[in-house]
Amino acid sequence: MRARKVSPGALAGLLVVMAGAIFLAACSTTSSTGNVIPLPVVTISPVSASVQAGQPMQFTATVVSSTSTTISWSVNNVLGGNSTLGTVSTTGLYMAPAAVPNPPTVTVAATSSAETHPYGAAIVTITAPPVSPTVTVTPTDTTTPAGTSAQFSASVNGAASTAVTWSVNGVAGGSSTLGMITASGLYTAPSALPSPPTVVVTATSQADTSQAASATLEVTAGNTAPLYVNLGPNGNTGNPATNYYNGLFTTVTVCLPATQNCQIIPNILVDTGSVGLRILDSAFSTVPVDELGIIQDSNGNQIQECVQFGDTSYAWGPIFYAQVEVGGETATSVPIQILGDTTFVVPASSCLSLGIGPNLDNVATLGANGILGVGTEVQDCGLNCAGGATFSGYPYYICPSNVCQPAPVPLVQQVANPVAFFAKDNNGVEIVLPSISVTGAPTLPFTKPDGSGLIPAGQLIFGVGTESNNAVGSATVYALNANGNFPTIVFNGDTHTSDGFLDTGSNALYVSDPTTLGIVNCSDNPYYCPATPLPLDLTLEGANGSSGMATLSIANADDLIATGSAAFNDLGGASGEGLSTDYFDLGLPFFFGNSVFVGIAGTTAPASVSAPNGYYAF
Amino acid sequence: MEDKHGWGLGRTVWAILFILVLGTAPAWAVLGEPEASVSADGQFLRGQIRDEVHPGYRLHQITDASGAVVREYVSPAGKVFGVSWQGPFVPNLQQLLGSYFTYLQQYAHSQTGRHGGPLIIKNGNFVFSSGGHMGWRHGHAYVPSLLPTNLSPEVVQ
Repeated sequence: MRARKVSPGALAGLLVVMAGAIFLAACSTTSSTGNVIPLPVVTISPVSASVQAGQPMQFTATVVSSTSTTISWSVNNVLGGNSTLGTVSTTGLYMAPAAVPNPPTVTVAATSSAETHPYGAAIVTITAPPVSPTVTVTPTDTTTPAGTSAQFSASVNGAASTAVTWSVNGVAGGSSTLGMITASGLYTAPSALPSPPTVVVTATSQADTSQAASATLEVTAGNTAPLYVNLGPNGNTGNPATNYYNGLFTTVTVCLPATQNCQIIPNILVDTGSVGLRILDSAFSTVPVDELGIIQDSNGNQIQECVQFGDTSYAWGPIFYAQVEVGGETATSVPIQILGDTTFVVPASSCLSLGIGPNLDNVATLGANGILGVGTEVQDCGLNCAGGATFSGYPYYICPSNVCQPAPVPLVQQVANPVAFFAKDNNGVEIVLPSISVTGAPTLPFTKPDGSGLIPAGQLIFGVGTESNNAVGSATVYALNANGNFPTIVFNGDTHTSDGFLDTGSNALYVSDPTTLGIVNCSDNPYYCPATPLPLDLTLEGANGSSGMATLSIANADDLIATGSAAFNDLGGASGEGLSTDYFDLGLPFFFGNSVFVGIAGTTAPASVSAPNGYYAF
Repeated sequence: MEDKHGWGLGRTVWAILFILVLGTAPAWAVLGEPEASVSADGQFLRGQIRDEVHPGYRLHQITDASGAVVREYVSPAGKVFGVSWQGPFVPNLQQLLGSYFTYLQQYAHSQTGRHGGPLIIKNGNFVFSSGGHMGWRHGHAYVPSLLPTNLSPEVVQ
């Protein structure tokens, strides 16, 4: 809105009319003697005006008839005015108040000091100052792999038109080398990395081209997904108990097979300790889950799965074929599991008795929208579930007439590692996380992933030795044993043959060998609280005879949590009761400051290492 | 490794005594029950059964179709004082733990805040741990009051 301007000609006309009216009023006043005598009359100019809040307006008073030419100025009869009504100086300079008063009209009066009545008065309407349209863009900081798209949105406040013009590095609509952006803000990265790889996406108000807002976007390699460590979707609520410490999250896109009907789902836990993509039904809002590709047996019974986790938590739900896109890679049709599907609320009774702990069918218990299992296997069960034999803990079911029973599922129908289904870069992953400092110095972003302010903590790179960004180089290759573990871990001179593994889905260093027996468990959280940090120098040995050192430590979890950080490289907890038979579950702390390759069983391992059960390299 | 707890039973000892039976008969017992309860849950695990006699306890071990190994540990008094499991999947703990399953139900939800790590329960009557990763689960449970004298809980593995 612009202030209404009053033209000089109109003011002159009004002045004549108003002055006449005041003069007539003055003339109608008679003295006590009854004689009509000239009374002091002051005229004011202009007699009507609009002034923007906070802006000045000069008034001029003329003494028509008075014994005194001294004028006093007032606003709504308040001499000199005030901050609410506006002020007026002794020379008639009116300064409108900073805020529009209520009502928005005031009277500025010029009064002769000789006679206070009648006087000259002007009606002033205070108007709101014009608002410059403000533009905001979300997300403000994001990444997208080469060749993929990222949706930006802009909002414009203070202008009738909310239309914006999008540009990349100042080029309207972008370019083939910087990436293109549509009128609706859909940015598509070029297939080759721009140089530098970070571009600035700007939305400019079409109503006021001086107003714009920008966001930065880093184009990452076409095999790379961002990793976040941010307390999870339940975190940052003010209740530390709901914070997901050392939770590693990424974003996946799930599409109905062979369609462009896709949904971007954030807050997916990246888990090297499991296999397959599992997503909460509640995470789907635009893609109809029941239109995913149904997976059923030859009699038309949909396959259900009871998935167990080591801590006795569990989840139940049907499996479907879906197109899965992560970090620029696409699996066009891979079996995934939907958790918390209301079609089958009640799991098989045997699933309930297997899963004693929480049912991970909602965000509150899962702590994520889903789990992306990128472990060392292709299928989550394998030949054990394909042959017809069942056993205690068997995961796959059919439920004809709502009575569930174990059922064999061929390999091609089993929930599978999406990485193995990519067209390229399909032999494993590399987890890259930065070094972080010890206690009390949070260095990784831990804002909630609400679509703004996201800064990735690290990278999930697909493929091992398939691209320039995933070369194994001089990293040591550790072939895994038949259980998918290091066959041997040496700690404090003790050789543990009770297995150990690396697991981004475990949020601490879970250890309880005889040395850690003396560590105090925290009283108010399920972690260790040693008085002083415990050095945890491990010698890890592969099934191929390779070995290497991991220099870790376990600090006091109470102190760590008190820092408010989301990421800790020294969070530890018990994996047992301290028996020599307890094992090493080396969770996310192991991965900070490291690049860890996880190779899928059946692929060719680097350096001619024989690794039929998969491998790690770091 | 060396035994650091002074129980005098190292890994080497428990490999000494012998396979008594090899067969495929369904048979099981549950924690805290007499050994005679072996047949009660016979239907839920099928596979190779191996019985061993060790100093201070007897061991029944069954390997099922998935390669999972479940072991039960029987005291000289004839009570199952411990069970353990290791394999691709967690066995049916309700059947394996018998009446002690209620402890598990009671405590499984109390260890909040951990993610992905093992479940540890330890109180006077019941010790339990369960962990691992997909494709390899293991755990054990024992009843301290039923543990034979001079026997380390480390035998339950």
